[in-house]
Amino acid sequence: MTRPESIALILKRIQILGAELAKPELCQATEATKLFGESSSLDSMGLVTLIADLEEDIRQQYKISVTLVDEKAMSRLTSPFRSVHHLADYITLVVNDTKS
Amino acid sequence: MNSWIKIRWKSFSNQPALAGRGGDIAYSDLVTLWDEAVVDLEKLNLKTATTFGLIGNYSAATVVWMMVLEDAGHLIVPLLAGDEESSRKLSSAGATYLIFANSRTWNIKHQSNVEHQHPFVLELIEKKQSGVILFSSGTSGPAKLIVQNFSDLLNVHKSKRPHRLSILVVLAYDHIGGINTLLETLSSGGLMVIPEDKSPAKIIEAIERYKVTILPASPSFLNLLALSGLVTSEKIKSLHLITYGTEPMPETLLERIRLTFPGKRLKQTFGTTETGILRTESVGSGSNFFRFSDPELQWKIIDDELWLKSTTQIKGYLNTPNQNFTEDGWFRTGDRVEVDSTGNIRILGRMGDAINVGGNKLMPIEVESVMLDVPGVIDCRAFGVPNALLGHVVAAEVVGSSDQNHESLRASIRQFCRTRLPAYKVPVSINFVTSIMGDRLKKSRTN
Repeated sequence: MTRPESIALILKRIQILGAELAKPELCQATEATKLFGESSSLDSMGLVTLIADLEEDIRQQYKISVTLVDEKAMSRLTSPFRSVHHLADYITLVVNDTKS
Repeated sequence: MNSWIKIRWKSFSNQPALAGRGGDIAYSDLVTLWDEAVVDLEKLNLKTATTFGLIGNYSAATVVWMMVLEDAGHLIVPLLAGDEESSRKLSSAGATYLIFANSRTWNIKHQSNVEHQHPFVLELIEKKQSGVILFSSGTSGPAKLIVQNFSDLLNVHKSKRPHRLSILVVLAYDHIGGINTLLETLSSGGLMVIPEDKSPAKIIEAIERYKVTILPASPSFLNLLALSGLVTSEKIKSLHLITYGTEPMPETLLERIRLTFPGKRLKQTFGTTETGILRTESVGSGSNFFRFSDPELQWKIIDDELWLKSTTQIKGYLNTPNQNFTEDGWFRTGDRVEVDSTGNIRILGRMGDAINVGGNKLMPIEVESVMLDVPGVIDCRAFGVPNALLGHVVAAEVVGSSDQNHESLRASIRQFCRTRLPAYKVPVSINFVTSIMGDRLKKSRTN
């Protein structure tokens, strides 16, 4: 999985979620969009839903099962859930690690 | 011995007792079979109370043997023919003889020589009363072994007046709900209708053909009937009463069932293998609230869990610690319930089924009830899955109608749930499956 593929996957999911949650700002998400924290449009439930959707997308597209929210993710120095940028880095890493 | 039930069966003479699979049987046939069974029992030359595995299904032979063994003060282990766990169950129950029952015939086989050591069993034997040994599957570990006073379960029906109602048996023969239906029907001169199988087509056919008046079933089973599209008012016109129990009933499912069976009375029943079936009254056909109307029953709610104390209740399990029973005689049902302002009760599910999402608790039925209202959702199940951010989150399995695209149905379900439920109750992940295997709430009671 390449990083641009990871970005595309996340942005597509955020847009769908933005439509579901009626949050137009999420529909215009970019790599810099914050996912969790004070200036984020997602609350903890929104983030959990986004992650679950992404895990399902990865399962279907790459035929592998990954867990994106676990102790490993939570204990990283820089949270992978800070922004789309950080999450893309993390997903690319986890997917490629799992595949190899 | 002169059992009151035999005297009653004689008085019902040529009235039909059983119909459906196994053919038509009149009460007089049951009396004939009774005498044959007694002859076979006497041949065994038993000096003490003995445990019999009664292997079969609803039939003239099984009901006659239940009554004959009760009359002689023996212990009965009813087991479904073909039960994969039967050998393990029989050895844990300690059956000395096995009766393999067909519709009107049987074979008796010696199994093993086991003496009854457990105080609960010895107590029954001492009182010269019969016991029925049942298995109650818990949320974990092996099935709990329970001995109920079968004479007491039977004698509850002694004061009831003959009714000649026709009752369909769909609840399992080896569970308390099925045994209660059997005793209720055959002690009152009713007709026990045994369907060929439990497919919606055969059930509807049996209701129409034998003019069934009462249908005791589970919510999942009624859902399958409703979704079959086979129910027409003409075919079910004989039906007066549908009783449902063994699982929680989501409100939206109750509404779906009401629309399928218009004008029929719907009543919630409640019972556990540990307490027997208890008398209840539903608030109304459209409500899943009910109240207990059993004068012998005490109940209370501790930390949302229903506690019961009844005269038909067992004192404990034969094979596991009795942590569900308190020293002062209360049985902790493990059922999470809700009480309304007038004291009516609603079953929400099993205590262990509660999902804790970041400190907010919910029961699966709250989510299921909403999901069932989404067009295209045929059946569903909600449950908790571990999540590193929130502790647990809600996940769901859904059976979708065949004309629905899964991706769009998933979006509709979540959208719909968001309008009806707080965010933490909305399923985070939704998987599509082909069946929920008949158990709406996976670990609900199996009685």
